[in-house]
Amino acid sequence: MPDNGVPPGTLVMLVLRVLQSGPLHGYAIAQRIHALSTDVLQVEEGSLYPALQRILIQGWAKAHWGVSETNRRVRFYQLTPAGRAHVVSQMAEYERVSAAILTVLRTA
Amino acid sequence: MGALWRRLWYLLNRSRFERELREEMAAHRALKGASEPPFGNDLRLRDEAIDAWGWRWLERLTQDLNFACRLLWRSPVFTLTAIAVLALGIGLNLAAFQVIDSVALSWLPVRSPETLVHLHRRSPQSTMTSFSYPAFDFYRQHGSSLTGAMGVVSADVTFGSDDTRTVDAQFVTANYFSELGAIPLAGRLLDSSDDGANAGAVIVVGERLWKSRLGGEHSAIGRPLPVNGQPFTIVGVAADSFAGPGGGSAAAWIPISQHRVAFPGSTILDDWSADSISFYGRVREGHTTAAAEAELKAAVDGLRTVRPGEVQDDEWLELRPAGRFVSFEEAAPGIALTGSLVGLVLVAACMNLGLLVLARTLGRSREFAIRFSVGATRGRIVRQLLTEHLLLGILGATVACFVAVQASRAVLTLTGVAGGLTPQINFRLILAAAVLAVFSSVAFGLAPAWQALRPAEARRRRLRTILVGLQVMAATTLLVVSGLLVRGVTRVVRVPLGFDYQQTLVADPHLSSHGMSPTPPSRTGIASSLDSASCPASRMSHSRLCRRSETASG
Repeated sequence: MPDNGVPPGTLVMLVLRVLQSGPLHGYAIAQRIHALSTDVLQVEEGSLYPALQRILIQGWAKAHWGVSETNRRVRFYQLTPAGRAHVVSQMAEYERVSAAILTVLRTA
Repeated sequence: MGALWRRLWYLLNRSRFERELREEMAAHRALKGASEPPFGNDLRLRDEAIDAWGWRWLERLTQDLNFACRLLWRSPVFTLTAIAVLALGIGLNLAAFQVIDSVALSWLPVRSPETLVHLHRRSPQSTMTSFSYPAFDFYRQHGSSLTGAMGVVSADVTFGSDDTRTVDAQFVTANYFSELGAIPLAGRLLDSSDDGANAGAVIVVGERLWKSRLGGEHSAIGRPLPVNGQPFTIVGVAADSFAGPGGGSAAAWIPISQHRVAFPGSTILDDWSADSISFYGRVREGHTTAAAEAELKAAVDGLRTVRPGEVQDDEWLELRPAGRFVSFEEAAPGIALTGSLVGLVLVAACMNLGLLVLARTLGRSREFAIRFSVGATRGRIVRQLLTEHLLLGILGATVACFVAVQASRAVLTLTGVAGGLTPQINFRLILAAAVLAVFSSVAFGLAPAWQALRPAEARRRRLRTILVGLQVMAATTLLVVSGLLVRGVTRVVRVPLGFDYQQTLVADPHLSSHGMSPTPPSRTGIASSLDSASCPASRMSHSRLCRRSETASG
């Protein structure tokens, strides 16, 4: 795993989180995560597409074809109600665990 | 659940979703700027994405099966040998299973077989299975936890003018067929009109007798058929598939009220001392067997007060299930012995096949080396080999099913089990076949697969030795056991009796089944008349003569 890769297990949550503000296509998702993380996180296609397929299979998002800002035919991903619920619960869980980890790191 | 449906949907529309993924990735590649790292290998990325659907195992299985089929097709001699060995090994086990299933596990083809019981007269010292008719009648009336009481007396009778050939007939209470839910093949079966003193002398013949002696014609119904020389009328035909309680069968059935017609002078219906009735019934709905037995104990005590001489002091009635041919408990020792013997045959077959497969697998090391070098994992190779072996196992088990049905039918016919128990290919058989197929595939296939993974120089001959050893062990055990069984039978036949039996005749006139009670005067009378009879009394009616020399010297 390269230094600026996404920590394992968190990619699905990150993707769902950036989809919360509206439908995006694959490239835009990667870009958005990269930008929002102040250029720290680099989403590789090798992990992005399996994660997107998993999201589709789980029914957290739906895909539909559309036209991008640059007039290309791209596939947009849009959160489903189940996906919205999932991302909220995942974030709460993640915050709880990472707070606990931080506590250990700081106090041990 | 939704996720599972979507996965299935993706599997079924696989090519469409793959195409969409390809287009999507192409768009992504085009959108990427020059400064960003280049898009990876399309094919690999797509493969990894499709992995998320979770069908990779199915794809691999299809590939492995495809390859296995091609390999087996290319070496027909090996394939046929393996299938034959497995069909024999598995088939024998399935045949044993079929026989056990039909005889000890399946219900008889009668109405509500689970409530059917066979009454035994028990005391701490003894078990008796026969009742006198008056006692049967008493329990029928006083045992309120019992319904559908059926009494059966078996007797050999003669039909027509030929009085040398006897046929086994059953004298039954008139409710016998209706209680068992039997349907006539032709005419009618016995019913309540056949009970009572004024009922006609009627007979129901079995399908086999109907076909062999009466031409199988419908016109036979209503025709007279002399029984023991007495006039009887045929009223109907019972199918071969009919089975009585405990799987009992007969060539013909006559109402028990007609016993005195078939055997003039018979006192069976009134004689308290003639224990000849087999007593079957049903436990009344809502009663447990134990409660019914307790209630019948009261009936026994009631009979003791009415007729003190007919019941032992500590007698009770035991209810044994009669809805199967034999109860599982009774059959258990036989099942264990048969099971271990046929199991050994399967072990021997598997070891034999194991050697064959081992030799074949070692000959394929080049193929495995190539697959390893192009990136196959060990797991993948083992899976490939196990798939091949499983395929062989399934093919063998399929053939074995047919072998088993034929073999078990032959066994059941030879042992004379009622026609209603003809084994069929059913769910239980297929399940057993599947279990055996998997078991034997693992048994003969795991060792060769493991050996194939080891580098050539590390392979030892030990595995081969173990396989040969196991096979010899199983074969030797089988030989020894079958030798012992054959020797046991020979010893029984050859056992010295301590007297010269070669010229001895035994005459059994079956007096009690003729309704004659064995009182001392008549017994001496018969004995003295036998003494004066000239030797081969072949025309002696209603009697069974048995030349000991014929059976004993074989």
